[in-house]
Amino acid sequence: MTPPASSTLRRKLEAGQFVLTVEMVPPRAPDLENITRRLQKFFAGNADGVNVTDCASAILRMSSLCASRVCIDEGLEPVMQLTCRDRNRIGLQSELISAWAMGIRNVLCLTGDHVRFGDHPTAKPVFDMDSTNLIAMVSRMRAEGKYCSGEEIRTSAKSDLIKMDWLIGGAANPFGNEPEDLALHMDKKRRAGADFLQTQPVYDIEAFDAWWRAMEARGLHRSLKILPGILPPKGAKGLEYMKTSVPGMHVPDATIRRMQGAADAQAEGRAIALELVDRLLAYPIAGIHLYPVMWESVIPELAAEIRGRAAKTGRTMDSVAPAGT
Amino acid sequence: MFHQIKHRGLLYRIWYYVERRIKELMFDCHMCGQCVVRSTALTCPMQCPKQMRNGPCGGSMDGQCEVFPERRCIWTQIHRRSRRFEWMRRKLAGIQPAIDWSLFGSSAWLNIWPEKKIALGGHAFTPAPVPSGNIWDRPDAGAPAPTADGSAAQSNPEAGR
Ligand code: SF4
Repeated sequence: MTPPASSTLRRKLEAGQFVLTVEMVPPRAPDLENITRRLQKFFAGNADGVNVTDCASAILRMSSLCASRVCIDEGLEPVMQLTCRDRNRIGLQSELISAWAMGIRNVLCLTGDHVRFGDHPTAKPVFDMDSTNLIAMVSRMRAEGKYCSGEEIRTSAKSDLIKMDWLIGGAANPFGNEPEDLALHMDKKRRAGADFLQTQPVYDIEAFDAWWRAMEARGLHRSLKILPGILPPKGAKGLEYMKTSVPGMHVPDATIRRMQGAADAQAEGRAIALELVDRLLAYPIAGIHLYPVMWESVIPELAAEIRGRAAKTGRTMDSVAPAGT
Repeated sequence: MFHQIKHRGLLYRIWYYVERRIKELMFDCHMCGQCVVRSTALTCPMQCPKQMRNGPCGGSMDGQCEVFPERRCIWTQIHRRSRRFEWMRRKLAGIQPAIDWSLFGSSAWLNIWPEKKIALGGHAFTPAPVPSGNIWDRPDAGAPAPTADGSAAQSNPEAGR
């Protein structure tokens, strides 16, 4: 299948449509069939964008570039995650031009989790630049057609200047710091060139509201497309583990108690997720970012529910093409 | 990381040693060779295990660092300190360019003068320009324009309750 000329995710965001992006974690083995099967079974027809993680939590996996390309082959729109943990600016730019050549049009620029908690804690963490610098570097490729070195992007001296028209994303954690300080950082990301933000999973609407107000005070709710994260909890244990062991997770004790008290944990998890979606839809958000951590079978049902609820609030959206189209 | 000091002569090393002692006492300096503490509330951002120069990473929680939870997040501290003076807050809004690692482990003071490798603000003289803004800023982007009464800007109407 020939890759699309430009990002459909971008077209949808430009048109002000509601979008649903879903995270996909590549396998820990050289197994393309695993990706294809999961994409067809759970993601096709449900996700406007498939966020392919880049060795998240510093755990070795198949590369985001490769899995993103499989998405394209399956007719899905990938959002390639790119972290600064494993590559310096040469590696990052090499990855970017490879991705562009393969038809990938969306990139989510992250600093990356530290190797200390991954499966290779003795590895050298690179962190040549931070996420804001990475956004600026991609943005420069887009606006000026130049590499980080200042060199113009051309195949040969006589050929045309190539400006890679990326859709650039950044990550936001609305919790754990003063909202105003976080908004200041997000403003830097916007100025550097970020077009959309995907947030950490939201469980605490009060805290999210404080953050949103700080973003609003800087006009960032309008100048950035914001996709709050939803992570449907599968069980109380998993949620507790995430609260204590996953960096940057903010889970109120009330949510954990609710999961502990539930007779049917999975049904309760879905209910919690949908209640959060309802409350988030009251804000002018551009879409929802779904984290189906260890629970991909929930995607089809949850995606349909989220779309239904978004439609009820008057949002428009395109149907998502099923696999292989 | 190779420290550039290792290939310099004796005089340079002596100067480096003095500068390092002073700045270690003052800022817990890491000798990145391109001092930006004026823009980061007089706090060295290189104390961050990820060397973040523009703000906290996504793992910063309640003032503690993601990588070493027993340590404070240096970026929470920078933001707190910046509240003391208006100029600190203002300077903090600037985007710090990517680090020039070829200066790591050299003297920032000597890099300003006489070596003239960086400007007073701690950056290379010709830093890569940061393109300003995203695609929604472009007039041709087709983003839904906010309505005149700002209604598109209104957030959750019931959130104030
Ligand atoms: S929590 Fe703060 S100090 Fe720790 S790695 Fe993140 S930004 Fe750096």
